[in-house]
Amino acid sequence: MDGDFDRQALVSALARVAEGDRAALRRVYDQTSAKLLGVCLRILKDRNEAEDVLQEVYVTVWRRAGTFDPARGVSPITWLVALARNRAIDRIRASKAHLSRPLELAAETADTSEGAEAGLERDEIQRRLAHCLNQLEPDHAAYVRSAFFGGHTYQTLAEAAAVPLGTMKSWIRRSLLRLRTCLDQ
Amino acid sequence: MTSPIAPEDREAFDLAAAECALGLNDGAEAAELDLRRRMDAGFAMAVEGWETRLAGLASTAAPAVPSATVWPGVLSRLDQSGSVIELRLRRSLAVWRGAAAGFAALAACLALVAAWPRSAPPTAGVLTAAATPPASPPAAQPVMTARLIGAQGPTVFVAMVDPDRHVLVVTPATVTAAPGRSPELWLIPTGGKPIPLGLAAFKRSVQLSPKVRLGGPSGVVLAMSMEPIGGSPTGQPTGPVVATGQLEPT
Repeated sequence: MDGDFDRQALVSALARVAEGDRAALRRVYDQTSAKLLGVCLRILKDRNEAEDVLQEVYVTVWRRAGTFDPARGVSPITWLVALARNRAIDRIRASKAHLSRPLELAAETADTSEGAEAGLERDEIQRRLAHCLNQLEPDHAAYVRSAFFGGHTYQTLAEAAAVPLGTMKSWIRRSLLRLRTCLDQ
Repeated sequence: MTSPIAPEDREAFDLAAAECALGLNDGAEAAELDLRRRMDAGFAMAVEGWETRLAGLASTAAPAVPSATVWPGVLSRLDQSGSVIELRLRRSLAVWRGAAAGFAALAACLALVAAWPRSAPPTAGVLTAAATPPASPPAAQPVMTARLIGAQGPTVFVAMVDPDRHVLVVTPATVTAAPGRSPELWLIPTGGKPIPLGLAAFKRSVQLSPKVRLGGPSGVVLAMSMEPIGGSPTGQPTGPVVATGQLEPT
């Protein structure tokens, strides 16, 4: 997941941010803002909104850098991506934009076949994830992606797919377990 | 706690972590997982495991260079937000992990505070999380305490200030947040602007800035508001205040 990122530089920059060092925050920003904005844009599909969320993300990094614990084995970029993704999902849920779910669901499905795969060439871990997602039922993989990028819940996915809630839960849970087995091999 | 976990329990545990990472649940179920993540270090690690597994999905998003106005915007938000820094969860949270869902531990925690008037000594750093009782209970009394009473009645927090070390210890009694919200604590000096104390998670001590003055007959108010996950983006309360309490000498 670290890809082009210098993990050690990010870890030490975050440690400095936790001590209130703004220059260190700038280093984190320089290293990661393009990636995090990409994540926000993918979710929000609106540049102004995505840049606004990105600002919130770095304010949160400033405040929460002390909660990042490299000893727990989470890479700093994963931590930052999760933060950006969660912020963007909060925003999209607050704006109810995710209620346009059927269209979005279709878009996520389409995305699995083309652009996503090119992006996934970037490193081994991403290739594995693409491989493992491809092992799932195509529809089910699309639901996982829609939850990740669209802020969908079991409930909204069940409504979008016009299936009972319990059915959607069991599809996704089975997919997640298969994903885990495949990824942890 | 040393008994082996049945595979089906392990599976349920890990699925709950995945649901928390993805935000698949609504309402009370989502709030419960969110709380569990904040209280149970083992569960938090399982959630992080899923965030790591799924982070590769985010890499399918093409990077985009932010406009030149974004960084100055970050700086101006920092200037508004003061000097809040959140706490790292310490592994000593194993204390909490013993309780199956964690909730039962909250009541126990209240009793612990009553019997243990002083906070654990802060370790290095500006802010520290205190999650284990000190080896020997000191005799001194806390000088000020506050019970934060929720709008719906129950005590949601007990807070104590140790003026010698300028440390505040907060202990949640009940905390529930709507999905996508985090409860955040504020200290409101008389006539002053709210000072953020960080996200309210569980017992911990907060080293107060030397600028914070706690004395005065009219006292200091503690308040809890519901903020977006991760805390108020502005450094001031943005969500509804759900509980308040006044710090009073004991």
